[in-house]
Amino acid sequence: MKTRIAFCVLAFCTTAMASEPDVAAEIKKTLACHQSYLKSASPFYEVFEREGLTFGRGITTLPNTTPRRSALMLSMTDGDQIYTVTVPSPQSSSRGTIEYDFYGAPHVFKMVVPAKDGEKSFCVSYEPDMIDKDHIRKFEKSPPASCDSSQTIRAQTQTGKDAMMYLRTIQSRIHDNMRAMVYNANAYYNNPAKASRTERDAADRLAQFNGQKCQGLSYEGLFGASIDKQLAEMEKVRARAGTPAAPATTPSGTGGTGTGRR
Amino acid sequence: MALAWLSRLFFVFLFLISQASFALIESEREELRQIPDWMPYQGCQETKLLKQCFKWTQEECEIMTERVSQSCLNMHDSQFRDPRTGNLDFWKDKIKDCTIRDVRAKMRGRIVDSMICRNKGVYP
Repeated sequence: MKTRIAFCVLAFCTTAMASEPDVAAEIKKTLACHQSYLKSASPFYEVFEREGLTFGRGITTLPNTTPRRSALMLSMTDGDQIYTVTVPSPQSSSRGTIEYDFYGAPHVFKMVVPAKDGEKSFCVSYEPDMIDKDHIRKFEKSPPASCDSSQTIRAQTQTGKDAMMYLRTIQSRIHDNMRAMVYNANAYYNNPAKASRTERDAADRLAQFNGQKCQGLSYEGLFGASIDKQLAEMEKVRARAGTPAAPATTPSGTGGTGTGRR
Repeated sequence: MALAWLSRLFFVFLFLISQASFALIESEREELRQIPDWMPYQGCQETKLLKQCFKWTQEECEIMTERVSQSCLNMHDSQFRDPRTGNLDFWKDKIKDCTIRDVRAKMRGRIVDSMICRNKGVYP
């Protein structure tokens, strides 16, 4: 009986260990992909690098608020760690029964990020743009005194499955920008004579991009969206265009996402 | 007499300067025409208003945004050719506002009641 119990405990521990994601490896792969994609990204690319941090902006809904109140959230990587910081809207006001918040206003705050050798402080002014690209007015490693009047927000260290979830904020920015590139490049090859400058530009960028370093990322969006699928779509567009395929960018077994809408 | 002529010339000069500062150059008009190329993808991401404020899939969002922003552009095309009507930022905002307004009209009944959507004037 004791042997059986010991076996069950061992099996449980082994399964638990096996399902624990390798966050450091996934961060490394994501950053390598981001670096290789940077030169090919459109001007609307929203993965930012500042002061040694790489980050993407998310949005989070605060619990128990009616109407739902949202807050800005940054997912950041520093080395092999992932951190998040949630920043409430800078101000709110009521006019009659309608309450307004200022999500689109600059969020100014002092951000403290844990580090192996103490803490790092940053002075940040981040302005979400609800349609266009977000604006970073300020993001500097500075003496805390310069930011004393702002609220201090401590970044949370994320581990395990949570870390993977927050890393997806960055991966989804890469994915969405690639998706736009594929779509616009496809539109260019459908009708080069009538293509716009954006579409021509996307075709040029796609031709120069080698997606090798972006293969096998774990990102999964809605309806099975993945970076691997976008890479496969890029290969299809290249094949249609008759341009030589970039070496080894197509992972096997990926499906299409239907870029031929136009 | 000479002074009066000089002052007239000065006002004409001022008028010409103010016109020049508003006139869109061809590359700026081209930038406006690019809006339907990028706006569906940028505006329909999870963190952006068009995706956040309506109950729809990303693909539905992109298809409608492209169509609506193109029609907004067509509607204002003759106006932004007129040099007296505004600079590039003015027209960009105008096309964005027009797109959101038209999407809201078409998507009535599928609008999300959240602070952002109220704040941005999407929620009625």
